[in-house]
Amino acid sequence: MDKFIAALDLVAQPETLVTLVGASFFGFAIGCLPGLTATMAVALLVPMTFFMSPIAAITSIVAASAMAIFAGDIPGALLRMPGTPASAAYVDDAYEMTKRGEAGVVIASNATFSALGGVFGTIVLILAAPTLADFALDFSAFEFFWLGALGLSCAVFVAGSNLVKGLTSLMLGLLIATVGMDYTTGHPRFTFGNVNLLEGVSFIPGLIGMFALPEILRSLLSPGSVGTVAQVTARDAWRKTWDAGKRYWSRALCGSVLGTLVGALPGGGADTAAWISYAGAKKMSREPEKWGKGHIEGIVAGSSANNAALSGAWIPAIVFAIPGDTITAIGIGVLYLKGVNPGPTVFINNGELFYAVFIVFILANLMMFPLGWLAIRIARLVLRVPRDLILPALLVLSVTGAYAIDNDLFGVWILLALGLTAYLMEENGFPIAPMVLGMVLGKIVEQNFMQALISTNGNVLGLFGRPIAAVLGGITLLVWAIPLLRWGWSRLRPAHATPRAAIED
Amino acid sequence: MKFGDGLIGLFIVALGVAVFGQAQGFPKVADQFYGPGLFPQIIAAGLVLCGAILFARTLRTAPAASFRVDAVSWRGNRRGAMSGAMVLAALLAFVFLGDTVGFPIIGFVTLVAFYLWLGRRLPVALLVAAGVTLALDLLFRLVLHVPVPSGPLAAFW
Amino acid sequence: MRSPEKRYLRPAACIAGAVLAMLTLPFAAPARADTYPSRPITVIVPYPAGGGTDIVARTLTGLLEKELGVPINVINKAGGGGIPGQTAIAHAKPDGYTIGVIASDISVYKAQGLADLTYKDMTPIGQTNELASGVSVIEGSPYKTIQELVAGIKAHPGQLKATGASPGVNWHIAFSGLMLGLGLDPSTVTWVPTQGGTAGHLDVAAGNSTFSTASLAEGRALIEAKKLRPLAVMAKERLQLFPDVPTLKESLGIDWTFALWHGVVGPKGLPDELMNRLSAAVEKVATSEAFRKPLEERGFSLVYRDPAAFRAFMASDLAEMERIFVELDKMKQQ
Repeated sequence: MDKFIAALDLVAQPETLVTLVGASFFGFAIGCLPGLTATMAVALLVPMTFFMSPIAAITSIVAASAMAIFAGDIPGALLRMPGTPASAAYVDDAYEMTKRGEAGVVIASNATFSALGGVFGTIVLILAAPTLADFALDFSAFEFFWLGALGLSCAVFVAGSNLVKGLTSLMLGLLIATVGMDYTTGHPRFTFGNVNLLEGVSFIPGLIGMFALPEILRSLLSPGSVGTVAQVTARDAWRKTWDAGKRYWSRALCGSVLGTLVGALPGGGADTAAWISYAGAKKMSREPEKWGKGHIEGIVAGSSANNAALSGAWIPAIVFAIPGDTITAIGIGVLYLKGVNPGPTVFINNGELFYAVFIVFILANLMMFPLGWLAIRIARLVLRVPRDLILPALLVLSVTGAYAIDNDLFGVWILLALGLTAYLMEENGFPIAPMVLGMVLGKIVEQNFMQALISTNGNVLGLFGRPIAAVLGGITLLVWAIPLLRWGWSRLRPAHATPRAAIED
Repeated sequence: MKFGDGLIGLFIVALGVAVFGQAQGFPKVADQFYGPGLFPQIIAAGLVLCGAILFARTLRTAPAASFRVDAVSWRGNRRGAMSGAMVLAALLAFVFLGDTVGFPIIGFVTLVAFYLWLGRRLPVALLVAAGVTLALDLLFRLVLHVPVPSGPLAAFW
Repeated sequence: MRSPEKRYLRPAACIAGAVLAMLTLPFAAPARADTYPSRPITVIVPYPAGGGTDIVARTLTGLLEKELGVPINVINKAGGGGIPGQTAIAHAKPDGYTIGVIASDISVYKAQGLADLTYKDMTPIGQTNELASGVSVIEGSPYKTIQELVAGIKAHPGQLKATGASPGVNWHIAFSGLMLGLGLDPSTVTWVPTQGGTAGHLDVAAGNSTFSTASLAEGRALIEAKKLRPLAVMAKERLQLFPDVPTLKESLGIDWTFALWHGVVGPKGLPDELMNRLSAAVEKVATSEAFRKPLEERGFSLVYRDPAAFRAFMASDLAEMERIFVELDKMKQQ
């Protein structure tokens, strides 16, 4: 308790509080811009932290990254242009709601459930960090392979109404993920001699292309189809969010638990968490037919998961200095810089400082409410601008964002290529979501698969050779086996269901 | 552009075969059955399977539409087709001229062209385009330190 | 202080600064030694934000700004194994306003046939630091010393697994050099590829691979938490952070050392006056306490080399890497 009071005292310093507010606004602005990631927000802050007290330095990192991940939802909702990969899972639902005039509800929900997820992750971090970090250490290539495979299985749930087209889209995403220097031998695959492709297809420009370009093209090809819709007031937005919270609190809870766990695994990450949570919640949903057409349930599940993952990623970072993502990698750097060395003893040696960090985590997540309120105001303004003025500006913004990620024009090439592909796919009834999922998980699955194969000298059964791997593998196989068995069963008894309906469902 | 499922199915199968062929040429790890080609080959097999099902199914259900190519959103919509072509032209301009001419100039020209084409008056087009260009440039280049190429303007910036 | 946050808090100052910059820049004369530097300098980092090179670059430039009196912008031109970014440095205008922070990867591109890019395409300004390779096993491993581990490798060919990087990349070269130095065939130990040193340490800690050749610094917290046991460092002298861990020379009597390094370079053809101004500033910062402390905490050893020494070092590094790849190729063909 003494430590807690000492910690409160640290947080109450004016420097800490000013940093909290300043970094939050900064992260918010970065997250809103497509092409600029939470990692970039944090990297830009690093030189600043040299001149801050330790607690203020850590505050700036935590606040900016949490806010950037939340703010990534906003351009997704308003313009179908996810600001960060973590927002891509539920961008279609968010955008459809905006078209119905419910942009405010989307943003209020993003803010609320992001904050809930973030606070949940922080509480787990406070209570169980050492235990969970020990658990995360048991994860090696075998376990990560199955986790990735389980994530890929989610594609079935986000595949849309035509399963074959959904799976084709998934395969294309996986294929894109294989481009670049192979990781087992260094052999360049499908790079056609281009050095820019050696590290693969840059993800963010691709994402901007796949979501924004088809939308721009569609709106321009059929002018007048998207009129400006009257948007809900801020008060109504928060009220509807409250209703959604009452209705889908269990989704928020599941999303938070899942996000924290996936985040705590090094290499898991907020985007994987958001996708698995979204797809899992869809599978469990009582109204799966509404998904993808502007249903709040998926937004609840996804936005709670990605911010929970962000908090979860600090678990191995603080206990073992293992960065789960680039944000915590920079965060660990700042910790060392300030002489606060991460390690299992931090809770003993630097007790009050770490409690102060946790209080900051919670405050940073609470900052989402005022900023969410602000975002709703901004959104109403943005949505009132005539579409014909917005669309061309959006095109130029997309290009600049695609350039900004690697500071290279090659990003614009990727935007163009993947954007046109996505446009043609959507025109012909191929959903984009499985392709994005394939691109997110392709590398994780392949690299861990190869790493495991090499470790066992090619023994495929070895994939089940470790206890956690065996459990995860079993679950994955079940996920695949049950629909197949059902399908086979219905084939055998055509009186009950026609086979074609089973495929197309 | 809408293509019949039959055409798409054939294209997917062809893509899968091409990927499989390419991947055959990849080296192996220490003379094992696995290597950089394994995963692409699994994906290629998946593509061939999906493409084949798509092809077979459309032949069974709607053989007439299987091989149709329909520019449904472009035909009889010259305005729309022109807008689409302008988007492509703008992107290609950024890709090929971005480094020499610079983002602000290409962006400004793109915006003015679109605003005029979409029916805005010239002063409005110029004003809004200039505002957006300046705002984007200030934001990315000065505040966020993104080295957006400025082309000949670099001398004045 | 140039910080995005302060700027946000003071938009007026930001706008005023921007206007001022716009007014003065057109008059900025071409780089002359007596007025250099007179406008912001761009530092290209060929790796993503948050990586080791990026941390070195951002720590360095924060201090270098004060030394040179102009703002410095760090630009991450990432991807492509660092090749596009390093090419951009090599091809930049040699006016002293675009320089870069590079890493040891530049010595392996040519040997691997990835790109015709070597230190000869750059003007060395100063080396800043090194990160030495180490050997570590899981706590509770039967191998308590490096000698026991080597005996194990000899006794069980094909059964032990090592890890720490993708093949052909830094820590894998450290491993290959160690094996060749011992007169052993590297292929008698299975190399498990991982994405970076920390992932390698994790693979060892999770009980899969037998040992890792990634830097001990990347596994420092795991070592302190008694999850990993360090056996040796591949440096000339023991490391300050791990004073109890012997060098290879002490323990095995072989001369092999390996370290990842970082340094500041400019494009080829950077005029001497500008280079001298920059190298003086880099030397002052790179040997300062403010630079040393945070980087040593992260496990980097500060190794400053002046331009001439840095050039000689990169030349020998390139030759050494080519030797390793030739020997590996020979082994493969046998």
